Amino acid sequence: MILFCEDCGEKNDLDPAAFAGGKAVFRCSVCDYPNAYSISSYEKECPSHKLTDFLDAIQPSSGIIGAFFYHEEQGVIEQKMPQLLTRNDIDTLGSGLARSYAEGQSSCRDLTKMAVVISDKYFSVFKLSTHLYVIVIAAGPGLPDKILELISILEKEGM
Amino acid sequence: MSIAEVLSHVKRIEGVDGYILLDGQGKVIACNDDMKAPETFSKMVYACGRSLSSVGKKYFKYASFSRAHNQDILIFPVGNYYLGVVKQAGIRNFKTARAVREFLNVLAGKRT
Repeated sequence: MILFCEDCGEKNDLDPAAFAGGKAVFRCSVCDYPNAYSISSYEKECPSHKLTDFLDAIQPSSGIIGAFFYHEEQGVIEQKMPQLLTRNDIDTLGSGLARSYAEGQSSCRDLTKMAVVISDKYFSVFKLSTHLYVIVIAAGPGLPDKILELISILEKEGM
Repeated sequence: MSIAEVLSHVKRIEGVDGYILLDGQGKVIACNDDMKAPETFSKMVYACGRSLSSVGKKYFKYASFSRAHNQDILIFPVGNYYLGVVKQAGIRNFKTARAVREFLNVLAGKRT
C-alpha cells in the first residue's frame, strides 16, 4: 500500500498487514521522518487498485493527456500524468482545482462536474466522495463515453 | 463601446441565458435585470474565477460548471474582471463558451 510521508510528501510502499490497528507508524524511506497517522478511513475511501485500474483503462483513449486522483487531506494519491510534471506540480494543480470545485459546490449543490480550460487543455473534475476527486486532462472538449461510464461507476461505488 | 452595449451583445450570443460582470474585488458591475439571486451567483463567479485564475495564471481561458437540476454556469476571466454566464439548456457548454470567447477576443482586439 502506498502511503505518503507527512513531512516530505514522498511515496512509501508499505505492507498493509502492518496497519491492522488502523494506524500507520513508519519511518519515511526518503527523509526518515517518523510518521504516525490513522489510515482506516483513508484506505476505506481509496482502495488503490481501483484507482490504478481506472488510470490504466483510460490512458489508451485518444486525446487523453493524463489523469490523477486528488485527496483533500492526502494530496495526489494515484496519477498517470506527463513526466515533465513533478509531484508538487500535480499537487498544486489538484489543490487549486479541488478548491474551485468546492467553492462552486457551496453555491450550486447539484454540481456534477467542473471543466476548466487552461491554455489549450481541458481539465474535467469530478468529485467521487467527500474528499476525493478525479481529474482527467484531455486535448479537446468532452470525454469519451467509456471514460464517463468508468467515472460513473466510481461515483456509484462512493469511492 | 460601453459596458451596457458589451453586455447586451453577450446576452444575444447563442446559448446565453443570463450574465454577470464583476470587478477584481467581486463587486457587481452589471447583470441582466431578471437574474434570480445575483448575490449568490456573484459570490460563486468571483470565488471560482479568482481561484482558477490562480491555478491557470494567464492561461486560464474559462470554466464550466455542469449541474444536475439547473442551468450550467460558465466563468470567463476578462482582464481583471470576471464574466459569469448562465447557459441555456440543450446547448453544449463548449459551443457557448467558444462563442463568448470569440466575442471577447474581438472586443479585446478592438480596444488595442
